[in-house]
Amino acid sequence: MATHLIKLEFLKFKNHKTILLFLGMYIVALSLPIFIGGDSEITSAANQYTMDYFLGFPNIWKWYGYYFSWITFFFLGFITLTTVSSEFKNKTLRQSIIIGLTRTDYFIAKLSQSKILSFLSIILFSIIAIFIGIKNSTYATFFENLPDLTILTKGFLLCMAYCGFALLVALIFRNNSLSVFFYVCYIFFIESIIRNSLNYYLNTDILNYLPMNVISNLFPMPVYNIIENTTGTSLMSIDISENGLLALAFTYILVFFGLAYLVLIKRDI
Amino acid sequence: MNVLNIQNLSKNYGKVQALNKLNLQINAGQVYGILGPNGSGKTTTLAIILGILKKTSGSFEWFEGKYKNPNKKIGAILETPNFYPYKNADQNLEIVKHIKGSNEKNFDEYLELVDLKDRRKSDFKQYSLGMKQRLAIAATLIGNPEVIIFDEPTNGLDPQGIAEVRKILHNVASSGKTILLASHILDEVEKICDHLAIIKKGKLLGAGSVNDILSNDITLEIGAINMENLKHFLNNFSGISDIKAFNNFYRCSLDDTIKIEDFSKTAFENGIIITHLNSRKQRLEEAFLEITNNA
Ligand SMILES: Nc1ncnc2c1ncn2[C@@H]1O[C@H](COP(=O)(O)OP(=O)(O)OP(=O)(O)O)[C@@H](O)[C@H]1O
Ligand SMILES: [Mg+2]
Repeated sequence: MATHLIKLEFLKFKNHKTILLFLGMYIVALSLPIFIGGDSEITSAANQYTMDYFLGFPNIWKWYGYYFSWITFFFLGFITLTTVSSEFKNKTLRQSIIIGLTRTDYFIAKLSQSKILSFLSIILFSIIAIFIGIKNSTYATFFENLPDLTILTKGFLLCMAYCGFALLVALIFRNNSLSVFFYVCYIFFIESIIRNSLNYYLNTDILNYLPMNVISNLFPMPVYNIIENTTGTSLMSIDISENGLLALAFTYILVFFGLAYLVLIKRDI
Repeated sequence: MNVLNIQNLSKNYGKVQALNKLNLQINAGQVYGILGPNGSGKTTTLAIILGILKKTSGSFEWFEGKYKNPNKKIGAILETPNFYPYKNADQNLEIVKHIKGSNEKNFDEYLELVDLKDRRKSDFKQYSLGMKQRLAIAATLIGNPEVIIFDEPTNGLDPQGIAEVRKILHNVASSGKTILLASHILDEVEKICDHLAIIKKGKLLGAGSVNDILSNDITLEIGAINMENLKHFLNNFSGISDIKAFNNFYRCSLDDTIKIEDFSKTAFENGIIITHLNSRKQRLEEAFLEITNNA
């Protein structure tokens, strides 16, 4: 059943120019870091660290992971938003349902699409990270530096979270510009304004557990670690165990997809 | 077999009541017209029974509940032809086929019927409105549906386009499939349908076979030298009803038990000299106006 639905999504979008363009840009953007690096020194918070230190194993997973989290945020988000909003614009979702696709079918199709995009993304992520790592490590051997399961899980959850959030936003707003606007604004402004102001007034850090902050903590900005190491203070905005973080991220993914399903089922199309 | 059974269907858009306890039964093989002025709730009804809009109350059942997913047995155009603009006719029909799970080898037969065979490789966005509408008709045939629904299929077309689409609808209708045609164009419904329902402001005003809805009464148009006397005479003649005045004649309906020659003889005996007399069967337009105005 799902393969039938995946094939349907493929048929629909295989010649959609914007989506192909986004996919191409996504792959290019993920590959760009291959071309940086070399033997020059990097000036950063901690001067004693060389380029090899950041781009070699094992730190490459953190650095490239952080980069990966931004690129996926934009591209997986935009791709998901576009696949949904274009079907509202052309009324093809309406027509699909009229002729026999159920709303649940459509949801399963979008869930499968998200899983496939996320899966392919972490494969690309691993290959590129290993490639950069080998290039910048003198001592590295390939097999010692395969990504561990936690990193892959984090990467997958990250992608699924952005896909799920984008799906929810697109099903609510339907219009492409509106949903792109909200998707970006929510992450850059809305959540951080809520988080910072309420944390301040309530004198708590509970709002650090809002979804996008949790998701972005899957691959936090790596300099935090360096600063934490050198100063001994904790800048991580979430104080939670690794497994707790994964569980929380997974819960938010369930919430995004669950709400998306509800919106899809309940509303007129 | 009952194909569609609608019971007390209602739909509110906020304060607007678009449908008010609508009842409708459609049987296999009928070519059923849903006739109503703009905004009467035709599209709303079709959108609900196709699963696009949520009903407020009431119920409907397709094919006596025979199929788990009845929509796969239905081909439909609702308001506008909806396709992927960046795909050509074949690619768009391929998607329809994929959703229906049907097994056509190619779409030649359908594209031939709607005369799009030589433009099948052009993207949908390059089509004229008439071509889009015709592609939509072709798409309704995929998967050999038991019912086909057309909502205003000639909307926005020029006279030639209208004639072409009607000809195609005629062909489809004569294939024995059950057809539901929503329209506000009386002429269209009268030419194609054998059954019809008339709705206005979301209420069913009448339903049945076209012959039942058209009364057997004769419509008369009469002029006389002295129109005042004629009016007086018509008002007092039992068997004449619905008198309407026009420039130089009256239009009225004559009970079908009365012969015209008897009528005109009596008129002559009453000193009415008829200068103009035209009699014909009631047209759907008159029945429609009569039914909707009396509502
Ligand atoms: N999305 C909507 N929101 C609010 N009101 C609506 C909506 N869609 C339809 N209506 C109202 O519901 C009523 C029925 O509309 P509908 O489109 O079903 O009529 P129709 O018979 O198809 O008319 P037409 O011949 O113009 O296509 C109208 O009063 C219309 O204004
Ligand atoms: Mg309509």
